Amino acid sequence: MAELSNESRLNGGFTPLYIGANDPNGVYYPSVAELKDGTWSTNVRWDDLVFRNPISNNTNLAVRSQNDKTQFSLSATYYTNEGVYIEDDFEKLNINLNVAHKIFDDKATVGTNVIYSKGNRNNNGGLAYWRNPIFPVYNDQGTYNLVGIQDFSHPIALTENRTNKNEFKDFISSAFLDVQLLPVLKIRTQLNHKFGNSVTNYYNPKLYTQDGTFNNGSAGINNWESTETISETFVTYDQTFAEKHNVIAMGGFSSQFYEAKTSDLKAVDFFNESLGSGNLSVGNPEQQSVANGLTETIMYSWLGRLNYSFDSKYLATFTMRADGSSKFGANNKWATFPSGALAWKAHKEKFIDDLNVFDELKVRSSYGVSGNQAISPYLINSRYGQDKYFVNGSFQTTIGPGYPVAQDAQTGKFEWGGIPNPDLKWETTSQFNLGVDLAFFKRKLKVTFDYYNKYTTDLLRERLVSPSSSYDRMWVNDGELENQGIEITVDGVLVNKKDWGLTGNLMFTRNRNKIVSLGNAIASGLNTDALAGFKYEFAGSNVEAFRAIPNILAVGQPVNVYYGYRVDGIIQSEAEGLAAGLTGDLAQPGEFKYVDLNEDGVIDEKDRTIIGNPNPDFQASMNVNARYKNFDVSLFFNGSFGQDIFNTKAFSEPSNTPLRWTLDNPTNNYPSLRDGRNLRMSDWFIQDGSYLRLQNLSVGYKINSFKNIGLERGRVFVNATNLFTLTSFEGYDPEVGTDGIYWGGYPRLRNWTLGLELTF
Amino acid sequence: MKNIKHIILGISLSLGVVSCQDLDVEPTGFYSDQNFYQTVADAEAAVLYAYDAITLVSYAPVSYYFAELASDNCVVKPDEGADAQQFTNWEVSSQNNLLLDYYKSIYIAINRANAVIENVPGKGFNEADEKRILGEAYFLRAYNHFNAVKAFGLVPLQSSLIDRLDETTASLPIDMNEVYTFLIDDLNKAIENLEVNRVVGRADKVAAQALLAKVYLYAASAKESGVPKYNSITASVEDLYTNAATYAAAVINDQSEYAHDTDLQNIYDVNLPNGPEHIFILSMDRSGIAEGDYSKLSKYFIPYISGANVYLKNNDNSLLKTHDGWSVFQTTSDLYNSYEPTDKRRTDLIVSEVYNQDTVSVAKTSDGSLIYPFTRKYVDPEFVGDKTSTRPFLIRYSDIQLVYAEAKADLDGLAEYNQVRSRAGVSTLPDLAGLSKADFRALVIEERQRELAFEGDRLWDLRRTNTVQANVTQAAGLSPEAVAFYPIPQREIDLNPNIN
Repeated sequence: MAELSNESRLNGGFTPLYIGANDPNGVYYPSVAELKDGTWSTNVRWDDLVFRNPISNNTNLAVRSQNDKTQFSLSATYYTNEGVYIEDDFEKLNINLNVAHKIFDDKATVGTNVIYSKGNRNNNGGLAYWRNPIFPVYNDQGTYNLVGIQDFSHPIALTENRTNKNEFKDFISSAFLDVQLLPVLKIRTQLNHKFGNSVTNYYNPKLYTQDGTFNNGSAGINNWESTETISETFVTYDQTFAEKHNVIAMGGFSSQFYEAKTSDLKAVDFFNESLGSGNLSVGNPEQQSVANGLTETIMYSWLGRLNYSFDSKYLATFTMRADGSSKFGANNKWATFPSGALAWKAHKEKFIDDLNVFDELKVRSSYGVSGNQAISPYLINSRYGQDKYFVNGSFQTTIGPGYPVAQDAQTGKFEWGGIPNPDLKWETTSQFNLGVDLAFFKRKLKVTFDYYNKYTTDLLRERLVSPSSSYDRMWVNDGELENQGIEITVDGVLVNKKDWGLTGNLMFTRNRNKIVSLGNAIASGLNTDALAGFKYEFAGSNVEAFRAIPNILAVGQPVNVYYGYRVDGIIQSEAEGLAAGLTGDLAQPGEFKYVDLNEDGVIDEKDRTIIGNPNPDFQASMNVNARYKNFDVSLFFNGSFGQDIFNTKAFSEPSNTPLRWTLDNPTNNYPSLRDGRNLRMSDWFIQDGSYLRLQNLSVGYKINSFKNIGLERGRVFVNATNLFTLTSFEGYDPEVGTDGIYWGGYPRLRNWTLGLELTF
Repeated sequence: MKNIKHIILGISLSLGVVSCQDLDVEPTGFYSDQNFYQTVADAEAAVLYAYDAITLVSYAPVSYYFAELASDNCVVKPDEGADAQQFTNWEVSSQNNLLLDYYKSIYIAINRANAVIENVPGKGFNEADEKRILGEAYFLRAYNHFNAVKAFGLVPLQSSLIDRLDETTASLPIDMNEVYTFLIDDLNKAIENLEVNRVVGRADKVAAQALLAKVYLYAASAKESGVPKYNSITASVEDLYTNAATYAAAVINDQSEYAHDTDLQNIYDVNLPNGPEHIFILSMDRSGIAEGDYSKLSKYFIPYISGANVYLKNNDNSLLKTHDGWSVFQTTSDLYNSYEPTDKRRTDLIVSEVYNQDTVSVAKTSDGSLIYPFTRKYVDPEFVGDKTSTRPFLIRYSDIQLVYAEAKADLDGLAEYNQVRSRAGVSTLPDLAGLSKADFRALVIEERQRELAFEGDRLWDLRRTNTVQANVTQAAGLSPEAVAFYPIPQREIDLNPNIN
């Protein structure tokens, strides 16, 4: 490792670190020789210190009872969960009361469900398991060994000195009344109320943390509280005419009020550290900061549904709903969403039944429109920003047009919003679905097949606006997206005998999405691909090491394809590099040989193209359950195939850096190690992410012979998740987000659960 | 109470009592155009928001990439990002992010100024306050547009507040004459409205006069030296110089608040932002919480030394403490050698050796342990971590003295020129014998480099005198258009159908 670091720094024109001398920070780095001959013997396994085998525990106790009039249950759950990092702990207590009672000669039911939970989290995640092993945990004086004056990653110092605790309480209650007004007419009204609260206390000490060091200690309290009230009333009419015509009509109304409040207090510059966040007012009075916020949304819905079935053979459903949301502009708050479905249970027809093949043959088709309002509130409103300017010896609050909607964590630079869009409206998706349900062999084999096509219009998204307007972006309804796919499910009962059984389930899904439009190309400020001419915009997170956003939304392409350069091996001579159109450092032997796709003799941004697709070709899973006498075994495999992963760690892990290009190893597969290399987003970092994983294996034993001690039922079981993964992907875990970016980290945990269920 | 109201409302709604008007939610978390500009204090906060735009990380620090890195004063750290390298190498493309940062920030400041200009009149505030606030807004609108014109040439002139999508596609002005008419007009309104009234971090009448002198001088020299597009300015070069001299003279003669500071190190004392020289200085303070409230300018100019604190030697051998920096803007030997060895601006303001608290040398340029001599114009001994009060010097009295000298190019001008030089302890000129006006103006430009080095001015002097190629090695051989203006950012061209 030290050797490679020296080589990389030398290649980058920097002084190597491991030369047996102090670096500019005054930190002594041993030479490679000292490390090799054991003169410098410190070799700390930070990962061993930082990680643990986490244990979680879930205890559940329930009392249930019922008689003719009343049903009742009370249960309590106590749950503790350790994170994989030391002292990263979570604990939660849950109490659930459920009562239903019949009144008015059993013509009506009233009930309530109340859940109260409280818990806390000691947040100690993200510790530096990657810390340099040559530095000891403690120095000769017995204090934490810090590397330089700005060492903010010492995991033990942070664990023992930093506070970051969160406590939360949730109260969820609902009450309902069901009344059977007539034999065919039922009314149900329900009120749900949800209250949540969370308080975070933190203290960043004067040493060991950046915030604390720069501010002479920093502490704060973040409060969050939300309430949600949903009320709904539905009337249902259910009657069968002439024995074969069944009609169910339902109509109702619901309202939803949501409110979230936050308040954040922060103080810095403390005398000593003994109070933590206990008394923020003892911090520097001129640097205390407060912030608070209030978010309110309202939604109303009218809903009507009509089900008609004839002879249980022909089924038809029509639904109409009208939704109103406070998030949209004055004339666009309300939208109506109709849908309809038809189904034919063909196996109930005599001519199908006579074939003696199908136990079930049902053909279904539906078409419907639905709406999406997943945006922040207040985007229809004018919104001014605020900041501070130092005038006459103190900071003054400043107010005006434009407010930051995002901040780049690395550079501190803002993206600005503030143009209201009073015309914002619902994003709508129309979906067509065609499906078949089949069952054979006395329902031992069941097959379901579905085809769907979803078409989204008025896509809610943030578009860019010209910088001379002083804004970066605003929310609009712009763009169209198409999704189509198939889903196939096969269920089979292979054996079902008294002592043993075997069942299986297979699922296959395949989805294709395509961006049909991103709105008016000019008005939405799309980029144009220099080679193929398609319009695109960058989407998602910036990857700092590449100074690039890897994903784009491109018209005519799947969502989130990767955009960058192509690499054709490694440059072996400067002449080869220059001939390839590269200059300076990038043309040297050992560098990536980017491809001059437009053949203009220079490698520039015009040579970028689509270099991969993070969307899988298909996904599949398989579930197998077997039982023999009291034992049962189940296996669950899942897999995803054909997706590409952007592996940001393809050339920075101990597993791949030794494979580097050197004069002695003129490989075409890896570049040389060079500090300060400006990496470009290229297909060299794109890898196949297909995998097949044994997600779950569980073995259980049923206890049924303790009736004499009042035990009714019991089961012991062992459950293991993530037992193995078959993949050619080089990182630790091929399961990444929808943007397909692999950021590194540690392997996915294997979870062992030992369980005992007892029913008395 | 509100929740109870919701519950009651929920029940009554369930029973069918519905009023669909209630889907309006009144936001209370922020001000908007509906509820602001009601009091003078509001208007004050609004004009300060416009000043505050200049403190953005994407504005003030970025201005030095233009004026210092692209000139012969500084080069960028070798492993700084590609966008920064493009400035030193004169390869700035329209997709350069720093280019976009600067352009965007300028228009943010302009829109904030326009919000004041549009909303303050007619609110019935007392006249003195209204005039002062409006005057500052006109000043800021001109100041920021001028920055854009120096960097990009013909750029949209925004004369009204933008708060609707259909206002976001501004057109370009017809020519430079329209641009300069707009700038001069705004500055005249600023001068009319403002009084002499010094507040650190804000502009007053003197600042507006000073800026107008600089605007006229830019136009005069650019038209005279044949800078592309400047030929369209209808006023004669002579008249432009005369106007520049007139407004510079107003700064020098018609007020007593600002003056030539005879103590060189005083000018750059971080605790004296109200020193006589500072006609317009940006205000930032180390007690701020976010960058922009405080400044990291020192980090850009000071080299990386040891990651620890170092000490600079004062003239009296006392020590001045500072953090080290990031080595981003590295002094060129051209600049360093442009000073005579005894020039106080080199001996007192450029650091070639640093010490520890016991005055033991830690690093020096002579043995390479200090990688370049650095300016002490941005040093804050009371820094907190990376936080400092180091401020950009936006308009300095000596700058206007040299503007006057250049514009007049006569014995009156020579007196100002000589005053600047004699403070630095270098020889003065007894008269202009043997020097044409052009010769003397060239001397003033050279003096401006030495006097205003690291203060964000050099590239503009080179551009307006059409001497970029002659002075900046990396720009040699480029076309006059290529050195006179940076490209308008690609994003503007992509998003604005009225510009292509």
